[in-house]
Amino acid sequence: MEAKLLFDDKHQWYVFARDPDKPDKIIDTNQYMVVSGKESLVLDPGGIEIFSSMLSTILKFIPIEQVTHLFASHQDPDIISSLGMWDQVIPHAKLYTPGLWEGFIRHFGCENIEFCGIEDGGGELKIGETVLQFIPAHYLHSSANFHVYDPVAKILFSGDIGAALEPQDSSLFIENFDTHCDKMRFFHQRWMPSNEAKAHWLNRVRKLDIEMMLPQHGRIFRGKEVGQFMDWFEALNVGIALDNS
Amino acid sequence: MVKEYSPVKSAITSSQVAGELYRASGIARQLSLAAKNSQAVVHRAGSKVAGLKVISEYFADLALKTIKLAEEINRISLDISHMAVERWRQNTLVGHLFDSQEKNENEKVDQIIHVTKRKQLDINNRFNIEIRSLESQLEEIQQYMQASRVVAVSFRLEATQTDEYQGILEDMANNIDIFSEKIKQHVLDAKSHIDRLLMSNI
Repeated sequence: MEAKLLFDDKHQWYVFARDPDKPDKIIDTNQYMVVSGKESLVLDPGGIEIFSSMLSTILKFIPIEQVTHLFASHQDPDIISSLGMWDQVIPHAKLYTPGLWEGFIRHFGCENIEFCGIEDGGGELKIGETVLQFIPAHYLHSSANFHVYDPVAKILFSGDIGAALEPQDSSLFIENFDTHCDKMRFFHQRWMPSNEAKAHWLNRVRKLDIEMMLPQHGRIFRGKEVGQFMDWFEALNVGIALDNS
Repeated sequence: MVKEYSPVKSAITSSQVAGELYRASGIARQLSLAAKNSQAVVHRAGSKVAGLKVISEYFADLALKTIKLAEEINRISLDISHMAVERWRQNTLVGHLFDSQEKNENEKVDQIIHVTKRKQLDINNRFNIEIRSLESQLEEIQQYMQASRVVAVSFRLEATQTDEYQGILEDMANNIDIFSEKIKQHVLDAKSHIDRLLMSNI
């Protein structure tokens, strides 16, 4: 699994992606990790099929005792179906995820890890000396959904927003924004259900100072690409299955 | 009877070993660079350090072997980690199937249990073989590092007999020593992770 350091100051952001051992028919996912002091947060740790690659990759950078927190943006299997395994490996960790999904996410197995449900309005989490914000992104696409913003690193983890469906060997970063739009269009039109929710999210995140936007699938947005994405997304009509059915 | 280790501990251990060897590989590349530098110095010094020519060649070869072996161990550890997770999933499945049988005995489910247990046995055997082979490869890399430190001693000895190259050769000897010691430490840590697993009970 490819691992790359995205931000390195008093705390660090890593991306783990493009797992060559992943079975072909499951969607490729990007996992992220924030390390601050002796604590860390793994964002959208992934499905059960990539668990062993994830564990091995994380332990290249930090010892297992320092994997202290997990975050799941929503309840999908590619986000958190590995929970039952993490539950055995890091039993003293805490899971931050939408509180609304508790009864559903517990189906993946959560006997030891402490379940910390995030209220609809969002909240904050301190990892080591770093304070992260949970930004509501409800109905994008999941009915209870959060993103994570780091005001120091100016990084927004945007879950399925900004996702693109691409081959396994594609670059981690956008090289040409215009051609990249073609790879994002259907995903956003079909998976995102609500133009109203989209406008709500745009209004919220446009107030944030963002230098890097990290989606859970596809490529990372840097610098002006973040604003370009927001303009593109604003103009996009989503929820198209209703028109086609 | 083949010993069975906790699949949870096995998955953690193999990932820890992969992590240690990933770090060791990085240092091995620095060691290789030191080896190339030493060859360049020996070449430049010519007859003044004639005794080091063979040693520096041996050292360059050793450094390359170390990189290769560290990467190989890293790869095997990842395979073992996948295997441990697979075994873990099978164990969980068997546990659930037994629960199901307790509630409502069914012949088909019994057959599935039988097949899964056979797979469990097979994967457990493979796991045990791989973990032993991992141990012996860690031993081998440790021996490489001992040899590497002998090279450092030779450089230091030779350094005392030259004026012009004394400082460079001493620096090289120190670098070789430091890199070898660091790699050795990662290997020892990897071995102690394995030892803890082998001494544990399921």
